[in-house]
Amino acid sequence: MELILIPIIAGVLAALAGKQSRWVALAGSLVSLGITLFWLAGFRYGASFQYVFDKAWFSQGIHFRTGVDGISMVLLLLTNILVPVILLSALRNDKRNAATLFALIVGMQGALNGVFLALDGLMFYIFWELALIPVYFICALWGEGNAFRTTLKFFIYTFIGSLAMLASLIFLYSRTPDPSSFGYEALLAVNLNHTEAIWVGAGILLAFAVKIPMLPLHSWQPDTYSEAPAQGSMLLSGIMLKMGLYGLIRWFFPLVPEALNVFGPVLIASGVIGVLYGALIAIRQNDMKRLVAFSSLSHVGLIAAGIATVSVEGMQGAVLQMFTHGVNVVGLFLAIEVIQSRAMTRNLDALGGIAKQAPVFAVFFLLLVLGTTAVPFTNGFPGELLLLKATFGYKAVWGILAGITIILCAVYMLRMYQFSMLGKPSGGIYLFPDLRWNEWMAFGILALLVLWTGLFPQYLLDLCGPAIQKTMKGILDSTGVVS
Amino acid sequence: MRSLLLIFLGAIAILFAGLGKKEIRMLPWAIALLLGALVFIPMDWIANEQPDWVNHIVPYFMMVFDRSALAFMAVIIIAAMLVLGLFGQREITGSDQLGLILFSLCGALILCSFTHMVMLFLGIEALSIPLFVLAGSRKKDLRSNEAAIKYFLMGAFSTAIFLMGCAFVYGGTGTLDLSVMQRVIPGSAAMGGMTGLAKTGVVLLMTGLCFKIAAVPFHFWSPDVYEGSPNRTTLFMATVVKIASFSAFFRLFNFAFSSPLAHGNWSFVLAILAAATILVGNIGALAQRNLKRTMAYSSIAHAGYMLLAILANPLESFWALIVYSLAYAGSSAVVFYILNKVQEKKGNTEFESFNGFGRANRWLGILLILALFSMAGIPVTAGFAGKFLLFSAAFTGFKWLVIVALLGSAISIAYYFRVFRHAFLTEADGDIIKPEWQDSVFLAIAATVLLLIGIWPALITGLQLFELH
Repeated sequence: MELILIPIIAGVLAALAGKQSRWVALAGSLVSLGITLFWLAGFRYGASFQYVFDKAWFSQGIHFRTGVDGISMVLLLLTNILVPVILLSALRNDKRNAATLFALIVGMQGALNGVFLALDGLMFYIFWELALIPVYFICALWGEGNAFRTTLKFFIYTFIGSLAMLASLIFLYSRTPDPSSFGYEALLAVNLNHTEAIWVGAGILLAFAVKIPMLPLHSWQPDTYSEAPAQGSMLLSGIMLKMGLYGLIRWFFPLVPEALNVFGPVLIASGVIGVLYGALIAIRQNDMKRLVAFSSLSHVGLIAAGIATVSVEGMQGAVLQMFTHGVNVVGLFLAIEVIQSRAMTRNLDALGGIAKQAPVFAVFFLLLVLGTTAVPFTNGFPGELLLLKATFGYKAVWGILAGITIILCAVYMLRMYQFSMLGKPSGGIYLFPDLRWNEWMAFGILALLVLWTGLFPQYLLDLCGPAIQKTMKGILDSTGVVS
Repeated sequence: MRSLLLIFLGAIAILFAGLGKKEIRMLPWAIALLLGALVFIPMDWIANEQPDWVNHIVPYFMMVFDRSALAFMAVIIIAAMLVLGLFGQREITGSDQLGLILFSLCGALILCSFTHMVMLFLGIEALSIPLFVLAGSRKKDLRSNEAAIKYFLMGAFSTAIFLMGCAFVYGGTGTLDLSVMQRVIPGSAAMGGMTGLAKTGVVLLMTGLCFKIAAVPFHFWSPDVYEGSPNRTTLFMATVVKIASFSAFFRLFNFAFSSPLAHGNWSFVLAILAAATILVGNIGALAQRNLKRTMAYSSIAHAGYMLLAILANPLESFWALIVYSLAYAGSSAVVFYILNKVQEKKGNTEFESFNGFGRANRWLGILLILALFSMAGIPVTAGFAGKFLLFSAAFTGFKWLVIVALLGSAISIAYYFRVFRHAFLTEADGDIIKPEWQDSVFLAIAATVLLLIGIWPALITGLQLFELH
């Protein structure tokens, strides 16, 4: 409750605060981070939901019900660490109407927390939609190029997906025993036959697949990422996509386990094809933002495939990799923003030799690149290993195909780093000042996370382990019932 | 009853007291009158005359002010208050228009509370006749004249069809009283079924009411009439008239023709009309270049969504319809207010006239976004709560229709956001609009309604329609 309300109130205050809005927003998001850490400290390892808040909302069947288990704890942690970092990196922003920008970012934090905390179907839907609104405004109002058209495409894509999910949820709701309820457990307890499960599942999956995005519903993504302002890209790729992946674990598979034999293979195929497709296109990109967008498509495909194997390694790897990918991709977009704000371009052809002028920046950027390429002892490695193991265990072919990503990822990431940072200074880059204090702090936090997750992945794995085992047991038990 | 009498007597008083004065000077009295009428509603709610609809025991009156009537009356009075409060006309002399609006409102209140077909007919007439005049109240404007003629012809036409329906139903059931009718119409085919006369009558009544709410295929008049009428009249038609017609629709079809057999006879036809209304309204709105016409089409689409409430189980859909009506009234009021102000500055309501509006007017811009979001049904606005409640009430019986409605909402995003693009994402400098303080009050009321119900719909849905014994 407080995790949802405090950022939203901070957002409203920030919108009214004028010049001081950045500090109001930052304070709000830090308070929220503090609460998250406090909850983490008091978190009892186990599969049950903790810190439950429950109050009747729309009616007796629709509650405002929040709670945390290991899986949502990881994502809350991710959200509440990344939003302050994003705000920090934007502190010196002098864009038009900056106050509104800060307000929207911190408001978004509240909506995202709501998504990860929701234990009621309708509440989940409401926050799912609500999270879309700030990011839509951020992209539409401060975007570059043809931002309105791109963001409208993005909005309509996701809105149609969400409406399909709403239809599915209402269907499940109408099947719950009287008095009908949208409660998480009540929806889970609904037994569907195979055909119904496919239809209901397709509706829910549409919402998640658009947001993740899974092939072939990804076409909004590269344009939106590249035309959005840096903060928009960070929010979208760092946290918002995780909503879809989280939805797969928390809602999709548990709600329609009856159709696992249909959706499992489809998701794995689409995920692995996405891995290769994203990676191959990323190699050819010269626009750094588009490059990172496609690399993100590739990484997220692997996570989705890992979840769809419904194995402990797959799901644990997925949760870990969600955290990792969030940190890395925000770092990369931040690095791109640093380059673009100084060199006025993010085209790889026009860049080069930045490392000599900004050595601190170069070190941080390299660390993030290595993390993304999954070099051992950085954060990308453990998650990717688990995910590949799970995919391989599911079917060796898929595992091998997905494994190519490690090579391809190294190719495009190192190519990006080499072309932009190393070599001779080219074009108009004569003066590239090194990091300012706020950027320094943002990169510092991200770098610590890269190393910490790389060295001690077991902490996050233990955190989400029991909850994942419970979720998996639920899924496999009900598939057993049907077959 | 007290509210209705108060408004009727007050309307006469205002009509005469306003002779030769500026209309704006009589406006506070009209608002006070509505406020007074609104105060009676909670009082009547507590001490309500309570016909037991469930067991079909209804006192033999022509009107009953039960709780379902009171709820609709409250919504309609609030909607009328927004219409009057937001459109203070400085230049008009004489309070004839004000009087006409209040008389029309009396008709609307009758439509909430009738239990007899004669009363329903009187209500429709009392509602419509002042509107024919109001639609043509800009005498020198050709479009306004056109609107008046069109509205009059269509109104007369639909009234005739409606009366024919009454006659057939009387022939088929032998009564014009709703509660008797409900007992006379058999519950199942085994009990003899409905006579052909009654069936025809029901279809004709449905047609007559569909004219009033502008449901497809009886909607052709509405974009032209909406565009041609003065803004205040358009808003009144779009909110008060539409909501009142829906309350009549709801009462007639869910109380008089609610037996399973009768429901089976008319529900499928109405479901098809609803689907067509949603699709035509939304797709038609996409093609418009003018905000006022867009709103006309969007109001057709909204009528389509509201028809879901007539089809669903009435106990579930009643509050859904109330919430939806409130949301619709609040958001329409805000959009029409802004549209009116822009029209005063620029002379038209083409989308281009809204360029830069949001940049120039921060608060009105935020309000506009809120209203558009509510119309599009995006969460934490009242529009979402209403849509959700409607859709989930209709879902058990009409899955395909709910899916059509969801599709319709997805399409609507495109044209609502077009307004947003012109208002916020164009480089032009918009005119700065300073709302009068009284306008700000009513805008704040509308915004509060939209947000409060959006965040906490149980405020409304938690009310008890029947006293629990």
